[in-house]
Amino acid sequence: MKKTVIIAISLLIMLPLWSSAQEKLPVPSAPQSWVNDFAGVFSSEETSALESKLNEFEYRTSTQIFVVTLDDNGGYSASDLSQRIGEQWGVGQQGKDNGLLMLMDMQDNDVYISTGYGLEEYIPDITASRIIQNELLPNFKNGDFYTGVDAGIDVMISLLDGKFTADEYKKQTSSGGGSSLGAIIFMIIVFSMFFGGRRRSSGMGRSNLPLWLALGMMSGGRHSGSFGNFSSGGGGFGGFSGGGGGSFGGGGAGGSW
Amino acid sequence: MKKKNRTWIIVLVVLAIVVFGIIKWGINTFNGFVTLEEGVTGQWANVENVYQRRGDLIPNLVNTVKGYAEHEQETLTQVIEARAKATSVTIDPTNITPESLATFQQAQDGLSSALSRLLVTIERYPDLKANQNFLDLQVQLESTENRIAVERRKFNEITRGFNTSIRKFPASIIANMKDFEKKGYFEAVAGSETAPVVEF
Repeated sequence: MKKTVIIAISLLIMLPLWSSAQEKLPVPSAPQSWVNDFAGVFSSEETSALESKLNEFEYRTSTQIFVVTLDDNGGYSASDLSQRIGEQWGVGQQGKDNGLLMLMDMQDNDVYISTGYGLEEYIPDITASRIIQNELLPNFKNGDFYTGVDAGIDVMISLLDGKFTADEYKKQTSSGGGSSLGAIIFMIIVFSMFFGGRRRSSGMGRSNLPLWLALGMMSGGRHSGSFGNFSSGGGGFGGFSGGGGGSFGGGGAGGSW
Repeated sequence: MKKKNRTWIIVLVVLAIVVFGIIKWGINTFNGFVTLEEGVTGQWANVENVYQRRGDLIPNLVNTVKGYAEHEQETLTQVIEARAKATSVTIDPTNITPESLATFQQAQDGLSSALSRLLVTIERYPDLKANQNFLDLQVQLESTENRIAVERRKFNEITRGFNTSIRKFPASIIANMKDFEKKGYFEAVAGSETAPVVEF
């Protein structure tokens, strides 16, 4: 009896020694769920909406997308920290390395998307950067973090599903998009001339889809209806089972708001 | 007479078991070293890959900058020269000594500082900073530096595991017999943004 007590006590003493040997990141050693909102950025409805989307996606493809918000970055830069968290949590499946981690550092207003080794070809760094510039930052600047994260995740899921390629996304969002934007503006002008300015928006503008995406959906039939049809299934897909042992090589991109 | 014989047999059997045990331990230790060394070699390939990736970005970067910043010919030449030097220094992955690694790192760090000088100069050219092609290159360059930091850190971790195990007694006897040598680490560069943590 005495012996077991001694063993238990010595184990308790040794336990903190073991954990301190590992790198001390400003996050728990294991993820709570897909959305780890340590900074309290999202409401509980927003968290569960994101989680059911990410749950469904992991169930369908085994690809893990995790979101982390932090109040305290522990002195790490967002790029460094998101890679380290992804590696420590093992986001993505072992061998496939199909994990993705979006870190929002609320202390320095930095965001970083880290891609696992296996996802680098589907979401190259430039594409990750464009997602941040086009989807996340405009919303983050308005303080609307949920809308930004949700739109960013939608684009990433579509990229990973092969609904459009990184190159197509690039075309839609870079200078090429400018000319079609010009065409749209021209069309709006023509429309408003015809209808005497009574209809101010041509219908497209009212949709909450990003304009470039709406353009893509107009131009190619295979894009149509790719968004908005995720039913929030309320966690009917087996639930959260932690990281799968994926590995990260420092790929991704960041931005500040 | 008969009794003496029996003791000899027992002694021999015990000796044989002990010798067999030592040989088996030696083989296991040796194989463990081989596995660890393969890990170091494999990770070295990853390190070389990410440096190669950076080297590949530079011609494109230089060409883009050239069109906008004609007066920075000197800085551009320095970058091109540093790149040529960095790509010329390679390491035999089966023989990563602290000295050869230091030479490799010195050449690559030379390129890093030439690049950062170039990026500072570019601050003076708003037209270039607005160029989409340049912005893309900048993103790629940033994440490549990030990748270099990550792969270097992983290399140091794996190498630390190997170096520790070949120096621990009694396994160090096998390491000495079979010429397993301590491998080099990457040193943290002063002033680098994400300096890898090197612990000895």
